[in-house]
Amino acid sequence: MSNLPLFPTQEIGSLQKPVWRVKGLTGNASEKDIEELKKWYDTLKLQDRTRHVIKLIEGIKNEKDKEKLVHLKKQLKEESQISALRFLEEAGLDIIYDGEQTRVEMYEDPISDINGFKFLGLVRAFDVMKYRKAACIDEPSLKLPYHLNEFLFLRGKTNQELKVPITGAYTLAEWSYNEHYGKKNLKDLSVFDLFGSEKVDRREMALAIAKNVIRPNIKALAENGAKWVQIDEPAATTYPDEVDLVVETFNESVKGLNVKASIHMCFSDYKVFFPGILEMKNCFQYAWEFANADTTNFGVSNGARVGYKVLDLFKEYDVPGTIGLGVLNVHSDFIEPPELVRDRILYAAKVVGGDRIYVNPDCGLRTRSLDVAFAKLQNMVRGAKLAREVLK
Amino acid sequence: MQIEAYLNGILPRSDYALDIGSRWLKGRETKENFHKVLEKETEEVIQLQERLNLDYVFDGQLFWDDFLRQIAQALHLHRENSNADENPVTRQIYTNTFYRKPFIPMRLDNSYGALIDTKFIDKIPKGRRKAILPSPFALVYLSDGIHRKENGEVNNDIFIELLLDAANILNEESQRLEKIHNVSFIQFNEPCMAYAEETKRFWDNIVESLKIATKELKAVTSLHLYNGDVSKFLPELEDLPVQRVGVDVYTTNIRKFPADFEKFLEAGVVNSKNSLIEEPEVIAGYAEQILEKINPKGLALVPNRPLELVPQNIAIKKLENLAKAVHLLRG
Repeated sequence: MSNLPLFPTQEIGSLQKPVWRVKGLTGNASEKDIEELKKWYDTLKLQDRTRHVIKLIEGIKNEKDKEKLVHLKKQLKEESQISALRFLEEAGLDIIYDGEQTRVEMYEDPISDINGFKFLGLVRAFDVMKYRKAACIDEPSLKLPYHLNEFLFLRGKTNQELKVPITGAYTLAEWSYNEHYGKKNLKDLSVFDLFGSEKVDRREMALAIAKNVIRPNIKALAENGAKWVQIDEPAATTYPDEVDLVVETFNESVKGLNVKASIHMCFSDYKVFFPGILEMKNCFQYAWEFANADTTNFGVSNGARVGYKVLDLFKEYDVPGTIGLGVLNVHSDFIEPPELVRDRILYAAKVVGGDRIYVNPDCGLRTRSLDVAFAKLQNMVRGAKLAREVLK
Repeated sequence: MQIEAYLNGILPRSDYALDIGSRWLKGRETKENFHKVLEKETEEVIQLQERLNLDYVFDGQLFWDDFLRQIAQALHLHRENSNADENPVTRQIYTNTFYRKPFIPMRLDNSYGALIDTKFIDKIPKGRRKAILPSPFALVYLSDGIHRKENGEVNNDIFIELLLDAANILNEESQRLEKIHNVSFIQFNEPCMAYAEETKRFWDNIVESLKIATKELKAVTSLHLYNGDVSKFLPELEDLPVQRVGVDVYTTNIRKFPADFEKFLEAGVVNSKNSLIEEPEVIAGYAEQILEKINPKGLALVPNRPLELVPQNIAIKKLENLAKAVHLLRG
C-alpha cells in the first residue's frame, strides 16, 4: 500500500465482455469481431497473444469433441480475463481486477454456486436493464468457493494490487425471493400477522448467507493470498430501517478473517446509512457512487459538486476508513474531462481530507462500450494526476 | 358486500420482451421490433384481465420505463440540454428497481398537452377502464429541482407551489382521461408518503393537492399507498379526498385500523415482492378476516404494490389466484 500515490485509482466492478469473447464462445465471431480483437490487442500491447486467441476462436467454431470444446472455451474466457486486466493496467489504474469477465453478472453468478436457490425468470432493474431472479427454497450453503479459481488465475499476472469484488449477503438476500423462510407465513399467519413478517424472514436468510456462503468464500480467498475483498452491496439502502442488518451481515461475513474488507454501494440514498455505518467493524473503505447525481460543470463550489454533498456526513459522523470516490457516471457515454475529475477529487479532499480518497468509477462500467470505458478511465487517471499536482 | 379485484401498477414484461429490450440497448435489435413486442404483450395483458373478469382493467403500463417516466417526458422534467431518459438512476426505496429522477426546473404548467399514451386504454371495454397516475406528492417529492436546497432538503414554499401545480396538471389529465377516453377509475400511486419525513408536515397540503387532482371527476378515485406503514396516518387516512385507499398489508399494520373503517379499502394481499403463490383460499381467508375485523365501506383485493417485481409467469399465476379468490368469495 505504501507504494500507492495520493488519490490511488481503482476499478470498482464489471467491464463489458468483448465481442470476440461473447460471439467467439458461441462460434459466431465474424471477421469484424476479429478485427476488433486485433485493434484492442494492439492498444493493450498484447499483440503476441493475438494469433493464439484467433486460433481459440476458430477452434471453438470447428471443434466437434465436447470435452475439447469445453477446454477451448475455458481458455477463451481466460483470455478475456487477461485482456481486461491489461485494459485496466493500460488505462493506468493502481488497483485492478479482471472486470468480472468470468461472471455472468453480480447476482446470477454467485447464486448459481449456492445450494438452496432456484432461478425463476427475468425482472427489470430499470429502463431495459434486467436480471435473472432466483428464489431461496432451502437453507443456503456454499457449493464451492466460487471466486477462488478466478483469483488463482489472476494472481501473479499483474504487478498492480488486486481487489476481489464479491456480492454481499444482504444484496443476495434482498434480490432473491424468500420462499424458504417465508412459506410458513402463507399457511399459518392471519392477514393481520403479515405486517413485518418479511423483515424477520429476510434477516434469517441474509445472516444464513453471510455465515454459510460469504464468510467461507472470503476465507478461501484470503488463505490463497487475496489481500483485499470488496463486498458489493448495491441493495444496502433498499429499506431505510434495515441498515443494521446490512452492517450485521458485513460484520458476520468478515468475522475472524485476516483480510482487508471494503464495501461498495451505489444508487442509494446514503443519508439513511448514518449513523449505522459506525457499527461496521474494520471496514477499510466505503466506495460509493457520486458522479451520477453531480453536474458536469468545473469547479469545487457546492453548486458545481452537488453530487458530493453527502460527503459532509462522513465528516459530521467522523466515520473512519477511506472513501472510494465515484467520479465517472457509468450511465452515460459522456467522457468526463480530466479537469472535471480533478475538481471532484479536490472537492472531496477539501471535505474529508485527501489522504482518505481513492478514485474510481461510480460503479462497474459494464453498460458502456469498451471504447467509452477506456476513455473514461484514462481521463480518471489523468484527473487524479491533475489533482495531485494541485495539492503539491 | 360485493368484493372487487383489480391491478394497480406496472406489470412485468415477459422474459422475451426483456431480452429484446436488452438487445435493443446493445444495438442488436430495432426499437420498432422492441415496441411491437410490447404492443403485443399489452394487448395480451388487457385480454387476460378481461378474461379473469377483473372489475377494472388497465393497460399494464408495459411501455413505462418507470412509474414517473411518461409524466417526466411529457412535462420535460429534466436538466438543460438533457432529456427525461438521462435523468439520474435512483433507487425506488423498498425494491431493487430504479427510476430516473425527474428534475423540475421551474413552476409546472400544463402547456405540453396529454401526459400519458391512451392508445391501449381505448381498447378496454367502457365501464372498466382504469388509468394509473402518480400522486401529486409522489411526482414532486421524488423529483429534484427548484424545490430542493443544495443539501437536498425541501424548500417549503416552493414545494407547496409545485405540489399544487402538479395537482392541477394531474386533474386536467384525469379529466381528459374521463371525458375523452371514458376512463371510469383513476388511481394515484403513492410510493413515498409512507416513509417521507415530510409527509406529516405537508399533510394539509397533500390533502389539498388530492382535492385538486380529483376535482369534478365522476370516475372512481383511489390513492394506493405502499413502501411503509401508513397506519400512522390514522384516523386522517379516512378523510382523504379520494374514494378508496390502498394499503400494503406486508408493510402497513392493519391491526391499527378501526372497526367500521370509513372508506373503501384496497387491501394489498397479493405480495408482488415474493414468488410464493398465494392460494385462492388463503386470499379469500384474508378478505374474510378484514371484513370481520375492519368492516370497511367496501373492499377490493389487489397486489400490495405493482406486480413488476416478479417474472411475468408468476405475476399471471398470482393474478389468476386473485381472481379465483374473488370468485370463491362471491360464491
